[in-house]
Amino acid sequence: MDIKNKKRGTLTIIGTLCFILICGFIVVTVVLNNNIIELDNSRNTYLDTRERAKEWVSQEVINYLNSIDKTSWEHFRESSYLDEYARNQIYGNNFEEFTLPGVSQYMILDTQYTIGEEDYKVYVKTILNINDSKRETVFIATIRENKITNMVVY
Amino acid sequence: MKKLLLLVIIFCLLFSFTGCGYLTGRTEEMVTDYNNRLEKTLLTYEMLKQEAEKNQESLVSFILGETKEFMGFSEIEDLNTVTVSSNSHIVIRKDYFTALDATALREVLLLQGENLVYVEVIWGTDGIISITRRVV
Repeated sequence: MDIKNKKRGTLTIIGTLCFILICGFIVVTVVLNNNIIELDNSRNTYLDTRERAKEWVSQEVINYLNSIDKTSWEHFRESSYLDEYARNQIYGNNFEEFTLPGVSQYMILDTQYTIGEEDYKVYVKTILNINDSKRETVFIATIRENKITNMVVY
Repeated sequence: MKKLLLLVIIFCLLFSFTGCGYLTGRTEEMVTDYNNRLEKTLLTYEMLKQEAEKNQESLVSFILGETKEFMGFSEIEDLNTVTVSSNSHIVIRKDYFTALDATALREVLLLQGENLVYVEVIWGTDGIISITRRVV
């Protein structure tokens, strides 16, 4: 009984201390609220969209390279990042017309983007292993309002 | 016992105040650091883009083999074995690529002539790093 009471007491103390700590943090956050908002607003977000685009465009390139059968083709074709034109340009209208990339291995080497204009381009440099030979390949995607509108391969 | 509890409560409050203050300070440092990195990226981009635009004409001559040297650079890495004909080519597309913290600029040119030539030039702050060419 005594041990139970002791345990309960310890738990109450720890709980109270945690509560006080949380209250302290809340008080400070409320007091510093304006400072925190100001701090958040002072961060330059100019490249944020493009930095994120680097990731999802690379993923779109990977998806394209992984379209090895009809199921994956159908799955990747439905990506919400592709507009109607790009979808037909990259994947075609039906699987039978789709030219399989035939890539056994790939590696993304670099991703970059253009800056300055609202519509921008994302550059994805890859090394592809096609029929046992390595080939440096560049994908350049044109982006408008967070959608790929065109993709060119060099 | 009561005094000890009071002391612990005061300690906890002080800890949370200073902890929160420290975190805000650190965030401020991180935001400043990020903004500086971004500004440096944009400055480098603008500087190298100007340099690239200024020298575009002589670069095209060099790519087409009309001149043997371009800004002290005499090697072009050919990505395929197709020969570039030196007939007049025009630049149909040019793009300049960068990313956060990039210290170099990637210039991509597309030249249209007898054949389509894809050119990639990497401009560093100390000059050209590489020039690659592919007949598409």
